[in-house]
Amino acid sequence: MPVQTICRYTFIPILSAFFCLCSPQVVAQTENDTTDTGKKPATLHPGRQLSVGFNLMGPVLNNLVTNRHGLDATADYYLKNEYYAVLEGGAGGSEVHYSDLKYTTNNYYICAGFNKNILTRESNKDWDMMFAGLRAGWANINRSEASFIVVDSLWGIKEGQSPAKSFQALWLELNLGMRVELYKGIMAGWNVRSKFIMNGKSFKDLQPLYISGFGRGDKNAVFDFNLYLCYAIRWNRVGER
Amino acid sequence: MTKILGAFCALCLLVVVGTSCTQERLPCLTPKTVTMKVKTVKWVNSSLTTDTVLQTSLWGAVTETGTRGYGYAGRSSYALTLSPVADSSVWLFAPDTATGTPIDTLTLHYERVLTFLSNACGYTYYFNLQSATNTTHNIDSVRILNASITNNASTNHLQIYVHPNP
Repeated sequence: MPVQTICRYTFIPILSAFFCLCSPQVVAQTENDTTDTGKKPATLHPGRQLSVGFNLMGPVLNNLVTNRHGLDATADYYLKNEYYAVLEGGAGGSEVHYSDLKYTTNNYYICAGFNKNILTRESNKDWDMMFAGLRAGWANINRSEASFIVVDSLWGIKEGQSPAKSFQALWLELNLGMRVELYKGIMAGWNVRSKFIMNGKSFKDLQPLYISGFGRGDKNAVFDFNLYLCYAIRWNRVGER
Repeated sequence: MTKILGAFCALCLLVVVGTSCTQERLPCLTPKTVTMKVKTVKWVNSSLTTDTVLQTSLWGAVTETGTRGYGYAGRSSYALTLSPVADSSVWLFAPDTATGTPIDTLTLHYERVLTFLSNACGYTYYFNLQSATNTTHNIDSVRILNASITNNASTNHLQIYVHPNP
């Protein structure tokens, strides 16, 4: 069994279990918690929040994995009823230098969607969230000319090139994650993403090794983990509780 | 807050370790060798054929560097490769080397279809068989059963009708 398969099927259950175990800690209540008293919280007016951030895993992976690179940014805006509009974007690429296959890709991407906070807000100051979300993603990919070698032990070696090509990728994402405020507008969180490519057949002739924003280009469904550091600005907050 | 930060750091560590497994090239699990499956049959009468097992048959690939022969015993089905460097391949065929039957030449003309298998496997060539010509020392005729030659090993592509008494 390949190492990556072992890792995938080892770490996904571990991380899933880890998230489940962490969740009660994240939602652990403070001493002022009103949940147990049965009181219905008064209507809150948290106002507006715009947060911008970037994916901490991008720079880390750029150093760890030599054949791919990417950077991701995110922005979200609080709408109402614990719904957040989300816009994400980034750029990256991959470099394939195998003995029988060589090419590079570069791409940029945009994701748009929403998050729904499933935690009960405790006060107007409470912007911690555990969320589920949906995204639609689009990437524009430029692939260089690919050089390849087909080796046949009987007939000989055939070398060739596949011309450069630009194409697009479309995908849908399901997101689960959490975000907490560390200090006065500085927020950190993680999310787990299940991504499903919608037009995989359009680049079957040479699936890119990596699509920034999506992941492995030769898979129709991928899982991804992101760790975000964000800064939030707020306004129109009515009163404090 | 301490718990959250602890969980956050642990998550970072797990993800870093997990993703560090993705650096190597995955092994190629798709068949890269594309073979043309050939079946030998014999006329029983003017309208009926039967699979014929050739006891000591010989196949030879005529390549740029010479002829490479492959002997088979007790077979009626053969897997031959086609050249990815040309649009035709020549195979020599002797159905019974024990009796010293003359050798036939089988020339196959085809279109090469460059096919990307995966990043793990790279490219290979599939073929669309266009025609097959042969000499008639031992071969009565040749029939293309399926012109599309891919890495699907379960399809018969070519049927060779051998003379009743080669």
